[in-house]
Amino acid sequence: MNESRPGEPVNECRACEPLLAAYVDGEVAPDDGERVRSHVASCACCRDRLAGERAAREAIRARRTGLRACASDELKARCASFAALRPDAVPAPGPVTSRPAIPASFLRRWAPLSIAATLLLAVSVVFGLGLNDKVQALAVQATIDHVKCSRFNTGSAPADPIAAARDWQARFGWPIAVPASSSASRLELRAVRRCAVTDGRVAHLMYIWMGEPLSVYVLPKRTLADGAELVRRFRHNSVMWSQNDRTYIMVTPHDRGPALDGVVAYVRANAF
Amino acid sequence: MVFRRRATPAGTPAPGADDPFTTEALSYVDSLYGTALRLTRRPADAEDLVQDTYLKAFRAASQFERGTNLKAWLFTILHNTFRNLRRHDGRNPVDVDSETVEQAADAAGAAQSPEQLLTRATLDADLQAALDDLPDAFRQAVWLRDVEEFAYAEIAQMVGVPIGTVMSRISRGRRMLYERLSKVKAGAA
Repeated sequence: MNESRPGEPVNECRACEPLLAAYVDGEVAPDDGERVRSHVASCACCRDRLAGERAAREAIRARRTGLRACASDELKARCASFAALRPDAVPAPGPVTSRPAIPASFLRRWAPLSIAATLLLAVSVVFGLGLNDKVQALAVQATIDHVKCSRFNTGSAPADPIAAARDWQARFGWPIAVPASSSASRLELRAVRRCAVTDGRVAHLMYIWMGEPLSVYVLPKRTLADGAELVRRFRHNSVMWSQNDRTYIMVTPHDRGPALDGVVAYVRANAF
Repeated sequence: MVFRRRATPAGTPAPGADDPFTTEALSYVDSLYGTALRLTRRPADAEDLVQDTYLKAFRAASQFERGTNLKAWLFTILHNTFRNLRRHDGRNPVDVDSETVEQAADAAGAAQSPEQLLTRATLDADLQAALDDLPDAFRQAVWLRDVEEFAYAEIAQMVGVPIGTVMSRISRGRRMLYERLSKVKAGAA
């Protein structure tokens, strides 16, 4: 970089360097362009740099199409489905019907890294932006998180509810009640986790219920009505309600029926 | 127990699915995915990143200023999301020791002259590998400029750095890419 011709300030190379990209792209101001041209004409090093930069630019641009990737149809469909979360979107009326199954390949790809991201979004949607149908938004987000998390993180042994609740408060500063395992309800507590990126703002109580993962998400605010609401998305039922100053979202793949009523009643009776 | 049962939009197009904002936004899935792939280098992470981008974009759709560049807006969300994920992952995508990188590039390129045949001689796979080999911040800048064709100002806004830094990263990134491709070509000769 110090190969300016004799008599030319050595730092002319440095002065011209920030202009090279714009010069190559043809977007440099006229005065600066003249400066670069003049310098490059007399500096072999910068001339080579310029030529190299130009060659790389052309190599990329010539192969732009080949470099671009195509998103899978699954990803496109999922992204399209999120249009329903627009604040100005009005859910279409209609009967409750089954959603298409979430493809196994999709489930496999969900990495633990992003497990909590969607819950953060849900919290933001509800607390921050006031989505006009927060029940639907919460159901979608909770179900997505449930599917991802239960795929990777369901514990293999029963967990101690008292210790888990104590540990939660110690770590995150707000209390939760953790309903214990219940033989009568066929409910087994496996783990209590936090969502990593929500930094303890959403508790995830993980159970096994009737052989399938069941999640109870606890949000430290009242955002819904006392009465439970049920939303079916992605072949899962989400039952949501607020109780005292907490909001609960229970997600299970099991169908609606007396058994579901029973487990909801049990959790409500033992919740904060 | 009586649940109040919420109807879902199942079986019908998502609300707003056919409006201009949604239609245009969804036309960029491939571009966003390609960029996410260059950022994360892993298809699974790239899909998560794109998905989170659309979740955020749709829920914040009312904040988008009509008449401005929707593609750039989406890319800004994508990069912010990526930065946040990396932050929680203990890594920083813009934590580049520019001086070290520049010195390394200078040393590597000092004895070589440009070759105009580079474009014709370079294979897609080589180019892709060379791009992936660049430090994150440089790869990001070069990609946004030369593949996605964003303006410097747009890139600066997306990445959250001054325009001068963007230009410098593009310039250095291109030169480093050139050096890598030249080596590949020399090795193949």
